[in-house]
Amino acid sequence: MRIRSLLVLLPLAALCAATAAQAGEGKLKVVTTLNYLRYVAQEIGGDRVTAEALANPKQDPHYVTPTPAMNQLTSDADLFIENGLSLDIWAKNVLDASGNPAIQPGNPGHLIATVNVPVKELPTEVSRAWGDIHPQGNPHIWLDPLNVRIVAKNIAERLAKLDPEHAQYYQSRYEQYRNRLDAALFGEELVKALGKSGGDVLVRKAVNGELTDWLKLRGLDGKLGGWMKEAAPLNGMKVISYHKTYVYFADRFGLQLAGELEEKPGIPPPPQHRDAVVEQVKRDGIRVILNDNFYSRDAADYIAGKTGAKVVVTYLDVGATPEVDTYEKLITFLIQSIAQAAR
Amino acid sequence: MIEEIFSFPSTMLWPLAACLVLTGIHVYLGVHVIARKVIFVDLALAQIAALGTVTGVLLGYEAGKDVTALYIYSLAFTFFGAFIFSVTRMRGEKVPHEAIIGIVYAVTFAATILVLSKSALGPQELDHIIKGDLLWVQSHVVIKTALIYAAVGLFHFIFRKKFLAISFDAHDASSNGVNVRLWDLLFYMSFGFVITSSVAIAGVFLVFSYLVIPSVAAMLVAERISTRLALGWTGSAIISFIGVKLSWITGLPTSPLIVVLFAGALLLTGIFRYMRSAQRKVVAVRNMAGAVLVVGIFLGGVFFFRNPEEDALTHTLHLLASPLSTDRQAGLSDLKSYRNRDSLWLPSVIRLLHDQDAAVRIGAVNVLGDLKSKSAVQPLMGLLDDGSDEVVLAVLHAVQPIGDSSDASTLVARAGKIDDREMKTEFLRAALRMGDPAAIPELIGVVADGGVFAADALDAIKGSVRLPSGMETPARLKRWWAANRGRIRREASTGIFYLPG
Repeated sequence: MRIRSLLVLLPLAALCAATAAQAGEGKLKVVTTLNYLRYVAQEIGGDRVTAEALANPKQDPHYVTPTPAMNQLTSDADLFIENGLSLDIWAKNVLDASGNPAIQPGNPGHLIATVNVPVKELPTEVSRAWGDIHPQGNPHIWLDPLNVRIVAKNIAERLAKLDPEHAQYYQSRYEQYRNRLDAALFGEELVKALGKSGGDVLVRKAVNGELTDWLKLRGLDGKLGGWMKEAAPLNGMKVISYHKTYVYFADRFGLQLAGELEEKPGIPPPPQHRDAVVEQVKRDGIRVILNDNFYSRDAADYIAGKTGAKVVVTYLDVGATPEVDTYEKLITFLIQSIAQAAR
Repeated sequence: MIEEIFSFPSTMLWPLAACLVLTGIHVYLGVHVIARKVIFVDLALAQIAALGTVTGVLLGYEAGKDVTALYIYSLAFTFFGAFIFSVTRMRGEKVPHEAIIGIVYAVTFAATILVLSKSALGPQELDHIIKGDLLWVQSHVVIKTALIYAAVGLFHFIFRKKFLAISFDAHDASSNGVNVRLWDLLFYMSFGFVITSSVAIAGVFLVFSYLVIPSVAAMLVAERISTRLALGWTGSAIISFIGVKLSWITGLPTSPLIVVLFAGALLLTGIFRYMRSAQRKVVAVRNMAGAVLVVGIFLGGVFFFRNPEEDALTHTLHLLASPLSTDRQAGLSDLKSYRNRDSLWLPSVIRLLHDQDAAVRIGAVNVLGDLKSKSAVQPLMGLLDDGSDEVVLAVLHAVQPIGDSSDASTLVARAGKIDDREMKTEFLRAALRMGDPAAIPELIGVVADGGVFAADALDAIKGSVRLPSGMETPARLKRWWAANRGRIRREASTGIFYLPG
């Protein structure tokens, strides 16, 4: 009897201790839907924040089945961050079940990370009437580092609002992370060459798609480094993808998305579409097919078998495999594996 | 004409061949399944096979790479399922066998979800099991499957007496000395063997349809097993051909189209049987007409209560007020079509100038700028402090054609406080275009700073000032400005600054 009551008490005591420890440290508890958001939140929050993600980064972020553990995790969260744009709509179930008023939409404890991000593929009036799988535009915004720069800013501002005492801390960590991203994207040398707001200037040029010309005009093209340089072989390369996952990545690094295997994931395309893709791959000499790790490979293998193109299995979120456990590694992985397959 | 009907896109030949291979074995097995009253056994076995695959993935094999290992996993699971089904068939049928099958199906489905929650495949795999990949099937798969089915078919042909006996009258077979449990096990094992391959190609729905619908339809019109088989094979082959061809013509997905066509064929067979067996034809015709009427009213009602389309402008106004920022952006881009009705939407757009999303603010700035109305300048200039450079640049672009020289002076004053050389240059460029010559010495200052943006600043001056030649160096520019600052004039028609005389 005594042993049994002890057995009941032990976990309880551990739980109390854990809660007390957490309260003692006074850290903000951040819960995110996707793992890239957790990564960015942790980078900015530093040791003032504990961040956890709900989705398994190996799986399709469109379809996540909420579990009791997720509800538990969010029940005492201070900040809930979602991607929005109709991607992680399952987050609503978790929020409803969390019983945590602080993180409900409209409160400071709830953040849609993609606010201010320029969204691509907004449906036109015609296609809205027909229904669209992405009624709010293409949601896979984080595969463009410039958008993650915006996401990082949104998160930093929200952390500062929730924890004003340490606003300075979050701001400086945000600036550090932003500088790191700028250096990773354009190369440290180039950013430094442009002086104080060098990163901002380069970002503006890149957003307007005039970076390359502008650098040439100013004789700075030799200084370009980072992902932009590494991705040079991708510039103008045509690829086929399973689903419109890579629009942002492609636009940033000059990749041309020549077509998709299945426009609506899970709905087999019309037979003519399949043959048109084969035809196109042959005609344009396309050598790479991007297939997200969570989609079936049958379609990609079929096209590859008919044309000799190579299938590249890609990962969408940070932490899908150990080799992409940071955002920076994810982008590097995508650039390198595409460049390698095309060789 | 006839040629056209039978002509067939060559790229659809392998999917059609796969359908015909399925037809061969499934129509035959369907006769057994119906006789045994185990209609859903294929769903259960398919699900067990799927559970085997996802378990293999969970245990470290990779989908699409370790194909053989995963196939062995799913086959082993299926054989285990066959074992369960053969030992749970009860002589007195106290518990219907279908109940056991249903339980196995539900439990394996749930178990598959549990396993999937831990693997990379996720819900796509469940989807895949249901829908299959008929369209992407490759020639070597069809040939391999045909060989497997031929072997199974041969096995069943050799022992047809035993298999038919245990399916149609197990009790009788048992008293004739047939080991029912053993032959049941062999039946379910061979059945599972077939299902594992079929589901991988065609998905659960299509496999179920090939198995059950032709046999049921044939049962309605024929008694002898050989006649039923002949009818089932012919019918299925025709439906497969029509389905694949129709899918090509209409662009509809192949597998679900075939399933629906099967249902249509079954319906026609049912009507045919009803009319043939009716005692009084007049009554039968009347009943049919009644049925058609009921269906017609139902479908008409469904259509009648459709959601009517909103008036386009009302829809756009709703979008402007949507809580989703992407809706608001879409609404703003739709406003191009309603420029002449701006009184209706102007208040909404002015409100959106202070939207929380930068992309929406940019959209609103562009819409207001396009109006080319002086009254837009004030609200637009209110955004010069915006945190987003993109918004500020959009404002500068929008106010240039409509702002006057006093607005321009505001820009010059602000430019003095900006560190970012490029943004500073853009402010001054806009101010100069709007007619404030005070921007000229400021721009000369940026040129004199040297660095990357000197060229931009010089370009901004040249864009609005007619300079004499040879004015490339900062020193000459400065001297030129000091000498001529009092004399400079602005041409009213072009807005270009010049020195008179």
